[in-house]
Amino acid sequence: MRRWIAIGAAVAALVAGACSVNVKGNNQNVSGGDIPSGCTGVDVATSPEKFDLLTKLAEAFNRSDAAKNAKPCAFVRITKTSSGVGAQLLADGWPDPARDGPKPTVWSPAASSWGAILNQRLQAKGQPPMAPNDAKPFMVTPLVIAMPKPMADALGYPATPIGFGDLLALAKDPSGWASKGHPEWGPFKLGKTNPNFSTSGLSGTIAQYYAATGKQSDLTLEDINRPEVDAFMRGVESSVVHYGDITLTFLNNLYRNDRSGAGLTYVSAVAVEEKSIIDYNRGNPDGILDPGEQPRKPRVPLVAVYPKDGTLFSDSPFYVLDAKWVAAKEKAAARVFETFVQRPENQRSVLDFGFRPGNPSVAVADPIVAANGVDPAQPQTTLGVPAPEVLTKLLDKWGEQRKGAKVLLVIDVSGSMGEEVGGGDTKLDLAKRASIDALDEFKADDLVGLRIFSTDISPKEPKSYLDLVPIGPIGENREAISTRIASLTPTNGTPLYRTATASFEFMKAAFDPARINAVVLLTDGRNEDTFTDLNATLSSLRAGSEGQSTAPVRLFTIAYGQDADKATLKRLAEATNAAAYDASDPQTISKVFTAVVSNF
Amino acid sequence: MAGRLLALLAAAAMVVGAVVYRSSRDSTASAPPAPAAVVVCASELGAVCDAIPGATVEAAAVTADRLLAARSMAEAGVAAWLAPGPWAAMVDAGRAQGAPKLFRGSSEALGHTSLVAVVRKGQTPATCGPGPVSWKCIGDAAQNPSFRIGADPARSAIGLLVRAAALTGFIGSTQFGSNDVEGPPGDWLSNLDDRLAAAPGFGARSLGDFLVQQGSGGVFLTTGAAADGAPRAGFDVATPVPAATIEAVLAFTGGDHGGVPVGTVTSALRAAKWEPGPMAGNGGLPSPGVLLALREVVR
Repeated sequence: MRRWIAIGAAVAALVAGACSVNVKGNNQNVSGGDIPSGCTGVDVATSPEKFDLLTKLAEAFNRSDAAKNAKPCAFVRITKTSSGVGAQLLADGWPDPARDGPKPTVWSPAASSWGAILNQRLQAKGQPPMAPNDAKPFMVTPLVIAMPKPMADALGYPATPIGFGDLLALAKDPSGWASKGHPEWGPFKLGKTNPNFSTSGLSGTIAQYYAATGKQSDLTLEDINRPEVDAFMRGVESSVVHYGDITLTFLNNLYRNDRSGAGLTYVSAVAVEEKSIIDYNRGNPDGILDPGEQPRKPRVPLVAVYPKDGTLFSDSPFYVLDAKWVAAKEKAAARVFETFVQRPENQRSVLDFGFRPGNPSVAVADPIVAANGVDPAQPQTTLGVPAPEVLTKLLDKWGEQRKGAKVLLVIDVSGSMGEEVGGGDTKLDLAKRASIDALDEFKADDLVGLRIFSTDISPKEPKSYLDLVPIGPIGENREAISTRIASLTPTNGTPLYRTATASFEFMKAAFDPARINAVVLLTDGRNEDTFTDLNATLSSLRAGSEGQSTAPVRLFTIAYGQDADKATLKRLAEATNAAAYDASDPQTISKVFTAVVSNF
Repeated sequence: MAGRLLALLAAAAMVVGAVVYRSSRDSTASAPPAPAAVVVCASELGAVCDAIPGATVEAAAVTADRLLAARSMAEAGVAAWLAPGPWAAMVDAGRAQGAPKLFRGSSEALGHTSLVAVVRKGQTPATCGPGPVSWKCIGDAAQNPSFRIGADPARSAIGLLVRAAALTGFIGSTQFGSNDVEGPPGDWLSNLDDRLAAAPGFGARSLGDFLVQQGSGGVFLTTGAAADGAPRAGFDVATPVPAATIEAVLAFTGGDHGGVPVGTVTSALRAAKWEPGPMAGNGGLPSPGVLLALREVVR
């Protein structure tokens, strides 16, 4: 449970704009401006994927007669808040509006399962529910299994329906894709996000449980405790490449591999929302065209596999909150806005973003078409959202069932880490606390070790880094790692390239096929070493990561402070199909560290 | 009589001042006070800025970040901004969806200059062969870690643009997206950027260093206006192909050029070796959005 809460808090400000993950204050993601005098303000906290859409609708609403004729006039502002974060903030009473944006009148997470989780958490605190059960969906998109088209073809889809059980069988087959006539694709590899704060990860985990039990609704605590269900879940999880905080990590990595002609070897299937497949096949994996970005269709498109066992919809519920800070007049104004967004002309606009309308009177249309790899006639079976107590138990169980990890923490202790960052703390002080806290996010049998680096830190070769705690079970290593981290002091320069390569090679040499193998490298600077060949470094990392490498090691990087070489760290991470994290503001390092660890 | 007139003028000024002050108080009663708006010039145009009374000089990137975060030029404390052309367009490209563009229809190109390579005599990169010097052949030479080359820092206005010009030469078109820079183009640019960002004592950090430090390198990338001061006896100034040109753009709000004496600035630009008026064609650089994205790619 601690893991769940910590991760939920950790992503309080995760902004997923690219493979590089940035952490900022949420109040940079508020649209609408000041509430006009005499009007009732309606603050809407929405999950990121519909922020742009709702912003447009809010602007149209604020100019509309509907808003002006409301008594008093209504004015809507939109705040971007990840679903898991929103659930946690609301459960905590939305404690810091200056940081997280105004207390919402309306909350629209990606799926109503988050509303159930919020209410369960409130109930656990003896508080009444906030998310009404009768909320209307604003728009919907089903969870699907995204597969590169040749792989779906090899499995005979759509003529042969596919379910999680089929994927489990393929994952367990030691010959992998060779059993389907494609040895060049290597083993079956599943991409899946962390269900503790990713809606697709949560929906995927629920769907797996239903597939394991053969049920389509009313999942019970008894169901999820059955040994055969546990075995099924562990089997599916064992094929996971790595987890991740956002599906975008997988889609960006897949897209980049596709453009270099290696898309079929990174991942075989990813649990994502249908709209993500449309975005991907249109050549815009994250669904947002940043300034300067141009859509480029992938060489190999994705196909949406609608699991034969059934699936769940992300239904974007429009919760007018039963919160103590929401007055009756604000609820009334929110209802006016809700009516506005449900108008057919506004519902049609959700199609532009790849979603299906929440208003059933508006037909599903382009781009929900076969040419984009999706099927408007699917899914044939919709799964029920489990009861709140089952959902929370399910997340706890997943914490035990998820694939184990083998991780080398590599921390920069160069002289610049001694710079003060306020409150009497140095950068190293904050990093030490954050990394020690992050140790709690590993499960007891995860394997974790500690390496530090700085020029000439070791009296003998290799002099650039020093292994302080050998890799071992975190349950046994936690104390030793904490103690060693706590005693770190800043030293010399930053041998970034040499250390990145050596750490990657070290983990490859000791690869454990039953675990996610990764390096987490934190640095606040740029390479300061006699070895300066970035190309050679990237080539070495790519060579160990490309093709059907059976020993994939991911190098996750954390750019720490303003002087970190973010561009290079992003390239190092991408060379190994991992993700780069941005902690330019040292005060965010704790959140970032925890978000990084959510990959395991 | 003169005393009475002065007293009358002083009284009138006080009344006007009070009205202006009251008006200003009323209009900003609910908003945090904005800094006094001033004319801002990019560092590369600092000398030109001497012709504008009260103007301040700062790095274009600093001004751009302030404008990107503000709802208006006034909120950013900028009455007018004189900077290399693409920077104003980059700000507009980078503004959040729904936010008003700051400079649409309110900017004017007052001069232009080419992006050039100042080449020490006899040190044209071998990769350029006997043909015209190109951005690609210069960048190809920079793929070798021992190649010595200089340019303004990547975070400067011109430094970013010469890197973008080189990348355009490598790709062979201005019509590419920021997402096309990954892979080989990104590696190529990164290597060039590495050489340009090399440690002190290896390459030149400024055109001045390059000109006087014999061993600092063979090539320096800069503007034609800046290169005009290079002694022709020791250096050649090449305009690499495909040619890239930038403008000196005055971006402003209101109808009076933000209070900038345009004629004076135009003269100052000419004195600083900028060609008068807007350039012909599109400049040979990628879109402002791509330029904005490149800020995250180079160092």
